[in-house]
Amino acid sequence: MINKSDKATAKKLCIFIALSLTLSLLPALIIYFTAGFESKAMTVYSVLMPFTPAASAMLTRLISKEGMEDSMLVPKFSGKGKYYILAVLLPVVCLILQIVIFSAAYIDRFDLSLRIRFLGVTKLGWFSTLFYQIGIGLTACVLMLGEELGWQDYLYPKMQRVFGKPITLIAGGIVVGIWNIPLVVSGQYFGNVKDKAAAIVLAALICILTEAICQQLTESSESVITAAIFRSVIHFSSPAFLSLITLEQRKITDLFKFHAPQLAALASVVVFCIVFVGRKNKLAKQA
Amino acid sequence: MRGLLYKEFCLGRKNLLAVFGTELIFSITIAFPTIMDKGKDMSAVFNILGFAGVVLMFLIMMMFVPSIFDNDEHKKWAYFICSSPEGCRGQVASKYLFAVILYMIAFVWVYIISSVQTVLTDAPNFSLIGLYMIWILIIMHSIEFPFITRFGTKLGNSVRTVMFMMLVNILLIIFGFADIEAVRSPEAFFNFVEKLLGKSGMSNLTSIFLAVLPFAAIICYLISYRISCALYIKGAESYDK
Repeated sequence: MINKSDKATAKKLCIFIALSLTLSLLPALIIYFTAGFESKAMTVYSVLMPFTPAASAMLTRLISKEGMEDSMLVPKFSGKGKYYILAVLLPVVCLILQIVIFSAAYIDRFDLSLRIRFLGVTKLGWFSTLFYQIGIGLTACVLMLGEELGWQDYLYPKMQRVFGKPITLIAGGIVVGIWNIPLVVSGQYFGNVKDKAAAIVLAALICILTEAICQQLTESSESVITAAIFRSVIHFSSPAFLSLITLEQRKITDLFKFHAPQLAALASVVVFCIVFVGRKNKLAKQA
Repeated sequence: MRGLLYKEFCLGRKNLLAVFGTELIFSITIAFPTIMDKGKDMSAVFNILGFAGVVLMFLIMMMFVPSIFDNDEHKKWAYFICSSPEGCRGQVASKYLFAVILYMIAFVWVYIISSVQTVLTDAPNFSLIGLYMIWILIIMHSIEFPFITRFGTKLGNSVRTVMFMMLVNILLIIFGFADIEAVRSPEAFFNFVEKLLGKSGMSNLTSIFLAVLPFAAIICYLISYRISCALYIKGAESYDK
């Protein structure tokens, strides 16, 4: 039996999901039938699209007159500093895991110094590029708020209230995956792949895992800034890490085989977050 | 903290208007490649214009960001907020956070204009320059803000002017006496700007400097915040009623 407040929350969820998917899919459809996905219009749209979840959340809050009281936009540092550090370290751990799993599965012998030399840079140059990209990720996290204000600040808390955590983690990821369909189909996500359906499913899986980590960080730190930092650092620092395995990655044509290490790395980090980060949070609340 | 930030937004409307005004004006220089679109011959000039536009925009913002401290330079307010649950830490934190928010708004604006422009005209993305400026300005504000907290905005402005003049003098001495490749000729400077925009490889020294800069900025800002918290009450005693 769903109570009144859950019904009201479910209504707001429907409005938000309808708005965010409309803002994502409708312009993409218009561009597809007019200029086509190869046009500059699609690339301009892909620059502005990440801000649509935040716009949808603001519009939903306006329509439902709920204000910003339950928003987790403001950062909380006292007692939560460790989650901000975790938001920077987890992407690095995730990417290192991805390289380790990839190397174990597809490479006979992995030598870090040799690989850095293959890139035509010195060790110092590679490490300074890595720190430079992590620094960019840390500062440019504000760009990721366009998505996090929608997903972690609005969708996930409300879904959790109505459906509980396990269903939220899966259903929320599926919503984000559907939102990403224009980017997947236009080739901005995985490049030009033949099997678009498989690419959409893979994108949904990646979204479920990434958003699960973001949800855990947001819940523990009581702010969406940690989730934004996580996404930003992983986005900007992945080129430095993945350049170490580019040669071998180019030889793999199967989409799932290519991304299997990424899925495994993300899944490991999700398990870590649920077991350790979530548990610490629970113990702190009980205390 | 949420309430204090809301207060900053309400009282700092002039600052916000000044931020938006500056962004709009300098959007024209940043978007020059799109507006002019004269072809590849002029691309180096447009790169410099875009680079200068972003740098000047953030430098002008640096001038009026410290005025966020003006609004609360009253003894009664200082004693009231220190007795509240937020305390002087919350008050100081709201100022530091609001300064960062102003820069982030400017950065998002530069990012959107630059990214759309990069798609339309293959011009470089100037938002990287915005990031570099934010890191440098945060380090400069880390030195300035404790002075403002302890002695008020008037002395803080003087400190900022002195710091800025010292930086300009040091740069002039370095460029005058040291044999720096970037200032040997206009072409060398164009190449240097292209390296900063990520279009070609950077030297090890530049990449180490840019790697350390964001972390140094964060650490300096945190230390500065701690110092300001310690100095807030002493500073409040010198305020007017």
